[in-house]
Amino acid sequence: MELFRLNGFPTEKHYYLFNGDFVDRGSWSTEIALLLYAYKWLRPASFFINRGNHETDDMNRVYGFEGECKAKYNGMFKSQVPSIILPSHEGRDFTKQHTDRTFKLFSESFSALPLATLVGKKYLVLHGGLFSDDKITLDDIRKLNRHNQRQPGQAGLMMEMLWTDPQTEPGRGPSKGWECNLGQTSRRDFVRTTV
Amino acid sequence: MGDEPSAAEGLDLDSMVVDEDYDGARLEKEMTTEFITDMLERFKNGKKLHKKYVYQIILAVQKIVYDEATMVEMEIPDDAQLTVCGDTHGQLIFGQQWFRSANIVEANSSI
Repeated sequence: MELFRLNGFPTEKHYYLFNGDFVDRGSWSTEIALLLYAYKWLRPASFFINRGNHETDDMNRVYGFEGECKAKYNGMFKSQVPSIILPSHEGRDFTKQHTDRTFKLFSESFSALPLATLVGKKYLVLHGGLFSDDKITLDDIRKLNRHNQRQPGQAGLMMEMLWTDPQTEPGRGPSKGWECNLGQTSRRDFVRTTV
Repeated sequence: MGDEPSAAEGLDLDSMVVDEDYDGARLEKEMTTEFITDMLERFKNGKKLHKKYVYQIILAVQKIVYDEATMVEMEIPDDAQLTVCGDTHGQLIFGQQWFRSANIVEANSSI
């Protein structure tokens, strides 16, 4: 990866934080994911990965990561997959299908990823953004048990932490999907009240 | 977690054999920089990792990150630096362009 060659390889003196969305869209998602994971395994205390909205099953089905896993590391096995409804595959039933083991293992590992990182008690780094409810504080994030749900769903703290986008207008606005956009004033308010 | 069984069930890594003719570095019980260097070289040459190693890496990392907090709280030592980056989206070759277009924030504890 050019990033490490140009910017320096991860060491105990050079921390890295990858803020999500390292898969989908490109054709080298498995390679990137495996490389980041290899570094996480090598340096768990100085290499960090936040989950992004693309580290989710719905996105990986549509934007290529599941297909890439199948094509490169095909290991089909029979699995029980809960029925879900995708916006693009309305009503399709995914129960009892053959699944690729590599993708499934990745999917389970994505569900285990942290949703945010607080750097030096000052900088909150997360892939999506802040919340539709102004009363949410860092303690609410600390208390969130992400292991209760594998996928972010369409509402709730986990969904907003992965999906919220910034906007140039102040305040809040509707967004492309179910999440909301946050303007600068809302972001500043969060900083003032919670950090 | 829901009731859905894990994909790790029934997966016996010890019984998976990496053939003699596999031309990449070997992975034992711990990750090494040598393995990562070899892995980078393989990927650049369009080669894949052995499936056993793929499973091993994912399972090892899942275990590590599962035990991390939902919000990781980290401190950067004074003599260390931090690079934050995101949205790499499966691009193997980023190049300079990527540095210009993506959000790279360099920070250390003094900021």
